[in-house]
Amino acid sequence: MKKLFALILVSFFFVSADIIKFAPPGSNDAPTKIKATFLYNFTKYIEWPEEYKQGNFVIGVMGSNSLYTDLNTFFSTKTLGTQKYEIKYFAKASDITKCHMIFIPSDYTGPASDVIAKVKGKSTLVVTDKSGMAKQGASINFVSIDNKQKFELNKSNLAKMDLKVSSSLVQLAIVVE
Amino acid sequence: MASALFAQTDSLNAAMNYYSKKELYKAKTAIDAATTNPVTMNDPYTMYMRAFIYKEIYRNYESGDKMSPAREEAVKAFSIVIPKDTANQYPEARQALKALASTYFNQCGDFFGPDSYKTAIKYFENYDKYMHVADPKADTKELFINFYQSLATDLNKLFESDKKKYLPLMDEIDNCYKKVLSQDSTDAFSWKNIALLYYNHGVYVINEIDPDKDFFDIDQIQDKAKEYFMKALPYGLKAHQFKPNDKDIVQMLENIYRALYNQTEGDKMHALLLKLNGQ
Repeated sequence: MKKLFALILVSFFFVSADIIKFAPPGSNDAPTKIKATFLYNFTKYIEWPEEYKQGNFVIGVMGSNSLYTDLNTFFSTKTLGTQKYEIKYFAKASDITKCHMIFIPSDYTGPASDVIAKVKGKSTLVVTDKSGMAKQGASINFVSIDNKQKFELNKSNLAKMDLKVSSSLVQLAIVVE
Repeated sequence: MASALFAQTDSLNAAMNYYSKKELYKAKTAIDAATTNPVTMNDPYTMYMRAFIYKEIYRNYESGDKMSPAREEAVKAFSIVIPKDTANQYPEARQALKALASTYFNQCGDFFGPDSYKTAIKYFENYDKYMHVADPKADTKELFINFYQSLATDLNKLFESDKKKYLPLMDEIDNCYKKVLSQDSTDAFSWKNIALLYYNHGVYVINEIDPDKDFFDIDQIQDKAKEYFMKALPYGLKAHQFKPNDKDIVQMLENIYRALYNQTEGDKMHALLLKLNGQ
């Protein structure tokens, strides 16, 4: 009656309290992936003049090295028809060379107006990420609404650059005058 | 009449007799009869004998069987006897139940895995329940936390290996950490791990976007990701509440806020991170 098992607990559990790690580096920045997806699709749903359909498709990035790296990675495997994407980094407006699209991120510290002035008269799509910029010369401006990424589109600014926008892209956009 | 009564009580006596001679299966037949016999079924000693007979069957014949029916019967019987033993007449019963409870605990790890983790949970619950039947003051908190953190670790590994296949495990992982928090609501690591579980999944949803296919569905995809980021935020804030100077938690909160396009709060967290880094 009194035969008992020994009360032995086998401690086989190994615990590290801090077990869930961040998503892998480079994929942490969800907004960057979303923005890159938008930028990529802008190039598909906007038509550039004939003289811009040769050579690489150049996307300029103002002032942000980390974004430049992320976009370089994102676009490295993609093409637009026969054009390869090429990402260029410009520290300031005076550095800008010919490009199809130029992106001015929200943390760019220089004046956006200088960038806009620099590409005036060229078919360079200016994409910004700051409130009110679609009314200050940008063709497309990223905005966040209800915790999500959206974009404003200024059709007259696009027309001035001789860029034709697809109606399906317009449907996704917040159109501003 | 007297001989009938004797015959009825005899099955209990027979069970005791067989048990003392280690004829356990004969003891089992006799105690099964005594357990259903109206004369003996309510006698605490019947249940006491039943508990020990089944325990010995488990120990001698079924200890290698992780689903041992004898063990189930033994713990059930001990769970009836012990609460009635207010005078503590059966300390050996308490000790025996603790030993049986420990066998459930020791087998928990064998059931870690996608198809059997629910058995691991059931076995840990058995351990916890029977330890407290044996001793209402039993302190199982440390093992409780240890078990659920370990299970969360194991399930998270599976989840990370194939997020589509193991998506339902998210709720289980969340539940494991909430079990830990039920024991220690100030455990910042559990709050943080729940936050990361959801934040990482929001990032995963966005990283799964195929820019060539999903552009016109991007709003719905963002909604889905946002749901996870929103879910992560209160857990992240709780973690920060209990460990305000933990840089990983502050970094996580900055990322969550930025994923939700809340630049103001994201900037605040970034400033705090710089301060914590001594910059």
